[in-house]
Amino acid sequence: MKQLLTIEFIKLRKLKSLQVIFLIYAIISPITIYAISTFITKFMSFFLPKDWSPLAFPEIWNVATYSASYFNVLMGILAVIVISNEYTYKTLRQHVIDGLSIKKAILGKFIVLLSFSMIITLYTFLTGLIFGLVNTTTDATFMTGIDSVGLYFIQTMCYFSFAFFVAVMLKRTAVSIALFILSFITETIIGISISYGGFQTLYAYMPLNAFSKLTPFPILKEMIAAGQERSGNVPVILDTPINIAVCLVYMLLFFMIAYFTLKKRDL
Amino acid sequence: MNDILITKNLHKSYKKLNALKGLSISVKQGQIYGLLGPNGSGKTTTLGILLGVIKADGGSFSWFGKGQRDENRSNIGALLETPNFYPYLNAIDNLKIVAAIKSLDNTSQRIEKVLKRVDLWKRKDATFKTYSLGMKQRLAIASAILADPDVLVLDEPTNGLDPQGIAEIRSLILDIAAEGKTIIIASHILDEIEKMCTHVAILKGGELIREATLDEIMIQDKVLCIGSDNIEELKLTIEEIPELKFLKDLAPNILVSVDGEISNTMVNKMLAEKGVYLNTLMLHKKNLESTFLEIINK
Repeated sequence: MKQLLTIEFIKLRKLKSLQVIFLIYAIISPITIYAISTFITKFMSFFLPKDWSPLAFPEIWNVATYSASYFNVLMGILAVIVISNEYTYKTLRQHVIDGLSIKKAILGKFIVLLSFSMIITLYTFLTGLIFGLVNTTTDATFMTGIDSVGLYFIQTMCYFSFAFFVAVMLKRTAVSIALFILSFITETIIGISISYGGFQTLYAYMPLNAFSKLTPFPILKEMIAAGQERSGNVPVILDTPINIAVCLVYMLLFFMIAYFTLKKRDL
Repeated sequence: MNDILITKNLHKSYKKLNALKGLSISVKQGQIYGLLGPNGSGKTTTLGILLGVIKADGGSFSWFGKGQRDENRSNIGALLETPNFYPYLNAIDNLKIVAAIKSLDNTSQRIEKVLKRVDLWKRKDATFKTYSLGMKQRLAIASAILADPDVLVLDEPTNGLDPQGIAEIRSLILDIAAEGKTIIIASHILDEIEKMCTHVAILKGGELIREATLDEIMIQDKVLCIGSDNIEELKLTIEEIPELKFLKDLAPNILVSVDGEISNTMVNKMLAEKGVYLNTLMLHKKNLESTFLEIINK
């Protein structure tokens, strides 16, 4: 474990794209939290329950994790880069030649992704905590609604599992990044099309959509309720426990396929 | 002597290609063992299997009598095809990663020692991507000897280098061999194998044609350089004489092999009887190239 951490740390310490992406995340994610909260209060006030204050506990956790989830694509791209670099530089092959087992090499990459998840979850937690402490005027404690942060952690790991899967399957950095981004667009187009055909439930079970619903839009439930009154044709949102289970199954599936592909493949 | 490596009946096929058809070789301690064969004969596939990056379809191998464990490779320094390092890291960071993989102690001293040995110490802080091809290859050798392993496995170690680079790498390899290390070299450059190896395995189409010491390999049929006014006629005539085998063109003459028992006079007589008169007939100085062609063409 310490060996793998050492190896990965030496590699990543000087990786420019990692520094840039983490810097973007650190600067822009608090700004996004603020921007989205302002947007909701300004333009969507007709949906809002009474006394809804997005930057105070408990709503801040929902707003913060929803805002941060926009950066999952960015972090996913970083994950793709980190994994496919090993193919581009043929260093995965070299590691095995040098005596690392392929299992350990994959575990090393998993640890990297887990660390990324922990770092950005912790950062989002601290940002949300600061916003909440500054803006909370009621007696709500920071513990209320904090489970959103846990869900955000699961969500980042889900996206990383998909990034891992794509990078391992395609091996090339640029192609993998392109397909990773395209997947989101493609799934949304397919999902919306089939929703019009009455298959909203199927869309709810599609992987990237299910992942994104782990940190739902803060007033999504209110909006759906309002929409139901008007048209009746509304998106299906799975109950949180079911959605978590669906996401975990996909995450496991993506990691397992990538793992067994790597184990079987000639390097 | 101890067996360093034994392979038994190694098989590997790609989609359409049967790359290895049951390769069995053995390498003993202290040998400089050359794997020789034309491109596509299975050299790199063999080394890939032995180094854990290619999965064999059948057969087995064992390093140091300990089987196929991943840990065995910590005691093997290897350079397979191109040098693979992180382009944005300098020499020291790249070697630190190798040291961590091989769980080495005294990392800094080891790195300094090997970088000085391959003459890269002055460039230790430059990133890998700024290195010339020769420097990249030297860093790969530094990485291979970092753990002071008992075995070095080198695949085309001088590939793509200029003459000076080739000479440097060769003398480095011979230096290392002088310390009693076992070295396995794959190459299609005959001259390289001839200058460095003590033992040779000749591969063709994924099969072992011959495995012997370099000296044994060199004692083959004698090679004659012959010529006549009409080379085409001479070649046709040679095909009619079972004792003579065409090896290669050596304009304006050709090389043929013949059993050592048959004298040059006899050769001349055989051809004369067929109505072909030679203007050149001399013993060709044997080297591995002519020997290799002889063996491959059998």
